[in-house]
This record gives sequence, structure tokens and C-alpha cells, in this order.
Amino acid sequence: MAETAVADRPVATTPPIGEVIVETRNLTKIYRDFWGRKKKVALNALDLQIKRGEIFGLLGPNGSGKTTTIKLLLGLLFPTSGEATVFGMPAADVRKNERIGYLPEESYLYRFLNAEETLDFYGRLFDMPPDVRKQRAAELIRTVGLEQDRRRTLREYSKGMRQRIGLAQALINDPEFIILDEPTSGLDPNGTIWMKGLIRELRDKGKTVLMCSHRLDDVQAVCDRIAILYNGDLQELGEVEALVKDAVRVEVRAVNLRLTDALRTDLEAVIEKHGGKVESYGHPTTTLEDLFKKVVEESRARPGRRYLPAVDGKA
Amino acid sequence: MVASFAPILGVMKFETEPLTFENWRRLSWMGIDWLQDAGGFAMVGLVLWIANGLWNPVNDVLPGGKKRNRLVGPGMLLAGAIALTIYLVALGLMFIVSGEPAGTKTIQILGKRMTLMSFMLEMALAAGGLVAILGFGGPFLRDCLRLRWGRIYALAKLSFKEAVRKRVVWVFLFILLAYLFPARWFFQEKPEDELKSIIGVTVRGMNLLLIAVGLLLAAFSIPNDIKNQTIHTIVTKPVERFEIVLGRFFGYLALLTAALFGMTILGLGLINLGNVSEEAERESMKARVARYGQLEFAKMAKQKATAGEFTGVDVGREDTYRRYIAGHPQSTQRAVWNFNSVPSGYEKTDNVPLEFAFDIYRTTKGEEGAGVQVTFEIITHQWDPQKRIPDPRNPDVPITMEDAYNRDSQGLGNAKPGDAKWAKVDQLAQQYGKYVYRNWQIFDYHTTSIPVPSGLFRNAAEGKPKEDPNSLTPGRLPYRLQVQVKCETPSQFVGAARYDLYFLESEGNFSLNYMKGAFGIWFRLVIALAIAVALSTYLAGVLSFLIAMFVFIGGFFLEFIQEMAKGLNIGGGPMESFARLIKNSTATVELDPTPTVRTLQMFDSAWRWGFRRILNVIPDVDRYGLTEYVAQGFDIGPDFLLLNFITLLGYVLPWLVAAYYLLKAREIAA
Repeated sequence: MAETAVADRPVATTPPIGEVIVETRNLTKIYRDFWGRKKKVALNALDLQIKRGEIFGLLGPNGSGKTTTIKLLLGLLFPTSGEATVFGMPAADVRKNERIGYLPEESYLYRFLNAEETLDFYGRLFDMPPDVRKQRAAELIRTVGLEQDRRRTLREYSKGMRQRIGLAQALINDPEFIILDEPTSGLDPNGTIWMKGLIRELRDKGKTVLMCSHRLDDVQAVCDRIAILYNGDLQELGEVEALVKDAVRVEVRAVNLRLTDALRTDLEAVIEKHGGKVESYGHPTTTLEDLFKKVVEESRARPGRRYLPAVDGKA
Repeated sequence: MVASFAPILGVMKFETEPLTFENWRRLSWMGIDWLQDAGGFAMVGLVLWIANGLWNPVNDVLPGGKKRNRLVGPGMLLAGAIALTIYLVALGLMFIVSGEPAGTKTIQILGKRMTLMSFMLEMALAAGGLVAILGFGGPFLRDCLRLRWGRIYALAKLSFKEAVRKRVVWVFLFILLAYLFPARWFFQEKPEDELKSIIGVTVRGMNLLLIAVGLLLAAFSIPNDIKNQTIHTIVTKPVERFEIVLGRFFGYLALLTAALFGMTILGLGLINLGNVSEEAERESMKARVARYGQLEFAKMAKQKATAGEFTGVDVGREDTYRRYIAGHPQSTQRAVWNFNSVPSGYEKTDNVPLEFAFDIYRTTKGEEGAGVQVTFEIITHQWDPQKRIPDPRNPDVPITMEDAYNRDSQGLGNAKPGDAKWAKVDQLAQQYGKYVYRNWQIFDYHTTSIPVPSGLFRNAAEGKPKEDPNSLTPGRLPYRLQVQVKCETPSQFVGAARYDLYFLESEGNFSLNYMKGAFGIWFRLVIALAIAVALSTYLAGVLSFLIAMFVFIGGFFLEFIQEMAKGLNIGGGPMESFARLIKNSTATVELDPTPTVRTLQMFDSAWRWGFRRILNVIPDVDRYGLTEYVAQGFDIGPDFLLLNFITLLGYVLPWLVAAYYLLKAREIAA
């Protein structure tokens, strides 16, 4: 399957030059039942390399093997065959974890602790000295925007807040390699924007990020390279831009124009002259994210701004 | 379990022989037994681990591209091969031993009499066990070097906080019920037994609360972490999995230790605030430091306690802890305690109390309000009644020691310290090595004492004791001091066990002893937590809790379980018992050897074989009933605590090693 996908790939891709942080060779995970009978092939002969400084996205529908791959890399699962190395160390070696940060899909943290205690606890697991731990925790609480709520126990947090503190615990050791499983899950649009910004910021600081998400727009917005998995098989691998680039279509945008019949006729004539064919016309729409951003920014700039119905009574 | 009835009986009873450094032979055998038992389990673990490691290898890729199996190293394989070879040799020796004729020459090794081949077999099993332990424990020890106390502390603190914030600690307040409703409201008892009851009830309450809470916390902690996936954020940090086990274990242990400390202080406060009657205070609010001897039963022949077939009279009581001597002025039956060392502190005082409490078995009602008369004859190794010594009164005619002593001790009676005659008694005791106290009146299970002059101990301390040909106990050291007890009252029997008589060396502080007694509960807590945490690394919370509970509770019935495993109990195994139920047959009646019965008994044999294999998993929790010592007013020595702690480690360590392997082999996210 993987070979077919490679053959069909429209654009050849090469990973960015850099030290290999993660490498899997023929990595396979088969779940078996109590009697050892094969139940499901969760991951089939995955060959992958992730290099330093890139944001790598793992895509695929539910049950495609994304989370299994992450769990194998973290040593939470053991491979049925094949190998996985992180920083050149076997995935089962806990020493590699010194340089890794991991945000699970749900923020699985101890809800009887508050934010400060949570970060202190995880800091201790890295044997960080008390003063460093304290300083780092304060810094991260500020970064994730939980200063006001740092003394509240996590059971009082909303899902988005838990995701934020989850990210903070993943960054407590200032890791070189960060694994984010559904990082924007549970976040409001503002939070999502913030999270994406933070991921890019991490990349800019030289960190390597591996993320998996169902929200394709998020992946497209931040990832340098992606792998698409389906049913445990690697279906596609490459740079996002190259993979989404449509080499046989052309998009032209213009301002100060209205779409009239005359314009359509002229455009069709020009395009036909160059051997092309018009597929559709239209006024472009902005993304909801951009609209939301614009509204929030305006609200901040003009306190008291509120929605008013149109004069004719329609919204 | 008998030990728990001791307060009702009013005297100390030992279900398990207390450990002492003096009995190093027994300690050596305990060590050998441990190597054999733990080694056997290690061998099973080693075989399973190697099979799993070879079947499902987890490979590291070496710089040269070569693969190395992470699970099974060459050292482990080598140890497995050597241990297997030694076990095969042991199997051969087993075959030889089983064919040895009855009269094969025996030798005495470390106080045990056995044939040379039996000894070789014991050593082979121990050696095989040692190699298996090294092979199986090797990776464990290597990984232990990577453990960081900072991380273990963080995990322990988390466990502690979790229990506190989930308000588990409130459960411990239930102990107040034991104090709000004193035992004397429910049980009628002698006033002197009141303290024993208070300690008994509260200690049972503490045991129940602490161990139940401990088992619940420990059994559900790791399974809940796995279920809630909180463990994912821990194992993806540089945390060794065994650190999680230790963190949980120490965290809960800290919490329960704090609760135990609080309860102990509370109990001590209530006892010291005058809630105990004066009689009880006199009887039990002490911390006696006792020197025990070894008990034999003997018949007197020619003024000497002579070994023979006599091992005490069985008066037909169900409880066979004590044997009895018949009472009569002419009775030859004696209960004899041999001491191979003299009690300390005799140099500083003119007497050392000999304390005792006996059971009385009456065949006639006797005199109203009167006890039973008992005579104590205490001799040293230098006392030889037939030995001829120069007579100071008539130097030309030697006289026997017996005659000289009888003549010189005329008119001294039962002198007491402070009497004018005491100095003379003391001098005679030192001169001859004998002291007699006649017709002391004893009451059922009532602790009293007689003074023994220090001169006797000075005599006993001199010279080297001779080997005693009359000893009934094989391997017993020659005595320095011997206490012979004779019942003088006709038609009455006096029942004695080893710990019913002792020299009182000193008395310690009761409160301190009470605190030391709490260590017994603490030892039990450690066992309960270790079992539950180890099981929870692999099993679900409910299963871990139930199995840990059954294993722990099984410890209280260890003797009975051992009897069942060895086929010594009355009524047979489960199948035979079932057949008896169906047939409505009593347990003592021999079943007809029909084919059905024989088949059932065969199943029982197989069941017993399997049962014997798991017998060592059951902890000897009765060993740690230290509060019995406190309740009876006996001091708990530091060496005793230390030895119990060592045996505790011997039991807990294999569980922790099992936990290490179980969690290491487990896919956390599966």
C-alpha cells in the first residue's frame, strides 16, 4: 500500500535537511486478543523520519494509526515488529523522555491538584531544582494564560483551560521534541489561534513538533510536513505546500471588480486562447477564523461595539 | 490466632517463636529457607521472562546496526542455565534421599539432624535459588541504580495528597468508636485484664481501619491511573516504571504511618489518663525485659531431672499449647526450664525476680480461695548432688554436696530480700549453686514472682557448663541455670509452656513499649501495601483488592492452611470434605476406601500439591502481633524489632521485584 502511494505521489518531496530526531523502520503494531489471535493491524510497516526544527503533522481518520504511532514513539506501546528511535535511542528507553514533551489528546492530569502544584509535580519528575521549577512554572502559567486561575484545582477548569495547563506540563522541561495529540481539541477559536501561534513559535525556537489532528485547517496552517495514514498504512508523506499545490489549476484574484457577463466573456476568451478552461467564477469568501479574528480585534479596539440588525430588520 | 485470645487467658502465648539473634542456627535456616522459596519463585519468573523475551523480543539497535534483545541478556540466560543445572542435581539428590533407609547415619548441622544427602539437597536447592535470584534480580538491581529519590518523593507526595484531598483520612476517625465504647461495657473480665482488653480492642480497630484503607488505596491507585490515563503523562517523563510502584507504595505508607502514629498517641493518652484499673496497671502496665529458658518435662531420678519418654501430661484440653505435671509431694514429674545464659543485672542487686504464671487443671475442687502449691528448685551447672566435697566442719570426712546443702540451709525457709537470713541464703546459693523455694501458692494464670538470690547467678556465671546428657531437646546448649518446678498439691495439675516462666531482668517504660508495639501494625501495613501495589501493576483494582485481601487474611490462618496443604487437617481436602457433607459423615470417621473416595482423595492430593506451591505467598502476619507483648506487659527489644524487619524485607522484596517485572512488561496504553 505504502509503495503505491509513493508511486502516485504528484510531487516528489524531500525532508528538510537536519538531524533526524525520530525514525521508524518497518514499525508495525498488531493488537491481539487474549488468545494471541490477530485482532487489528493498527500500524503496518511505517517508515518515517522527522527532522529537527520541523512541524510534522500526522493525519488520518479515526483508527488510522495516528495515536498508535505516537504511543509507540513514547514507549506507551511496544511494537509487534520494526523499530522506532527517538534521539537515536530506542522508544522504550525512558532516558529519551528527558528531551520530550507530550500533550495527550485529553488533558489527563490530576484534577485534585491546582496549576502550580501540577507543574511543580511534573517538574520534580525531571529532577529540576526547586527554584528552577518555581520559575519555570510561573513562566508557563503566564504563557498559557492561567495566572488568574493558578490556585484553582483542575477539576474546576474548563476543557480549554485543562488543555492549556496540559500544554504547560508538556513544556515544563523545555523539550527539544514536542508531541501534541489533538492540541486544539476543546479550545475556543481564540485558544486555537493562540495554540497555532505557539506551535509556530516553538518551531522558530528550533523545537521539533509532531502533532496529530482531525482539524485539517489547523494542520495546514502550521505543519511543514505531513503524513496521511489510513487503516494503519502510510498513504501520503511530504511537505504540506507541495502536497496541496494544484499544478494544473490557476487562481487569479483581483480587486475593485464586479463579476459581470462582459468580464466573464473576456476572461473565457483569454483562458481559452491559452488552452485552459474556466471551471467557476465567484467572489472569494474569507475564512471564519479571519472573520472571528477581525470581530474580536474590533471589539477590543472599540469597547461597547455590538451587533445591530440591518435597517430592513434582517440580520 | 491463638495469640489473639491471650488477653482472655491472661498470659503471653506465642503462636510463632520469637526471633532472637541468640538463636543464630534458626536464623541461618530461615535464610536457607528464604533462598529456597524466593529462589523457586525467581526460577519460575526467570523461565517465564526468558520465554516471553525470546517470543516477543524488544530489540535495541546498536551503533553497528546489530540488534540486542532488551528483555533477555546473556547474563540472564547464563544464570538460567546454571540454576537449571543445579535444580537438576537437586532432583537427583531428591531421588537418592527418598531411597535412603531409615537407619542412615545422620549428622547435626546448624542444630538440625539430617543425613548428609539431605543436607546436600538443602544446599543444592538454596544454591539453585541463589543463582535464579541473581539471574532474575539482576536487571532489577541494575535498574534500581537508575532510581531517583526525587521522583519517587514526587510520586509519593502525589499519592499522599490524593488520599488527603479525596478525604480518605476521615475514615481513621472511626477509631474513636473503640474509645467511646470501652471494651468493659461488653466483656466481663478480671480487673487485671482490663488493659489487655483495651489494647486488644483498639489494636484490632487500628488493624482493620489501616489495613482496609491501605489495601483499597494501593489496589486501586495504579489501575485508576491507567484507566484515567493520568499515567501517560508520568511514563512519558524520565520516570522508571518501578519508581511509580515505589512512589505509590511510599506515599500510602507515609499516610498510613501518620494515621497509625496519631492513633497510637491517642491510645497512649487515653490509657495514661487513668482509664485503667490499679490491678490492670500492676499486672500489665509494664515493659518486662524477660530472659527465657527452654522447657523440657522430666521425671526425677536420683535427685536429677532425667530425660525419658515423659513430655508432660495431656489433660485433654483442646488447646495443646501447655503440657501438665501432676501434683503430689512425692511426684517425680517436673517442668524444667534450662537457661544457657544468666540474666543481666544480677551484679547490681541482691536478687533477680523469677516471674511465672501457670495454668491450673483441677481434678478436685480443692480448698476455697486457696491456690496450688508449687516448689521451685533452681540449680546451676556446678551443682552436682552426689559430688563429694570437703566438709568444713569435719575436713577429714568428705560429704556429698546434697547433704552439705541440706544441712547448711536448715532453718532458712523461704527467706526474702531484706530479711536477716537473706545474706546467708545468697551465700549458700553462691557456694553450692542451688536455691529452693518451697510451697509457693499459685493461682490460675496469675502472674507472680519469687526472688532468686544473686549469688546463684554468680555461681552460674563461673566456669564452663558441661554437655547435658539428660537434654531432651536435640542441639540444646548445656545449661548454666536450671529451674525445676514441682506441683505439691495432690490431685491437681500445673500446666506450663516455655514462656510461662522467666527471669525478670529489668522493666522498661510502658509508653515507649506501646509505641514499639505499633511497629507490629506498621509491619503488617507494609505487607498489605506491598501485596496490593504489586498486584495492581497487572490486575484491575477490584481483583487486586480482593486477592491482596485474601492473601493477607490468609496470613492469620497460616497454621491451618499449612495443615491443609500438608494433608494434616482432620476431614481431608475439599473433595473429601464435600463427600463427607453429602454422606453426612463426621470429620473424624475414616471413609471406606471405595473407588469414588479414592478418586476424590487423589484430586485432593493434586489440590494439596498445588496449594503447597502457593503457600509461601501467604505472609506470616501473626508474627507481627507485637502489641500482644505490650498488652501482656513485655518489653519489645530492638533486636527483636530489627529481626522482624529483616523477615519483613524478605517477604516484601519478592513482591516488589514481581511488581517491577509486571509493570515493565506491561503496555501502559493497551
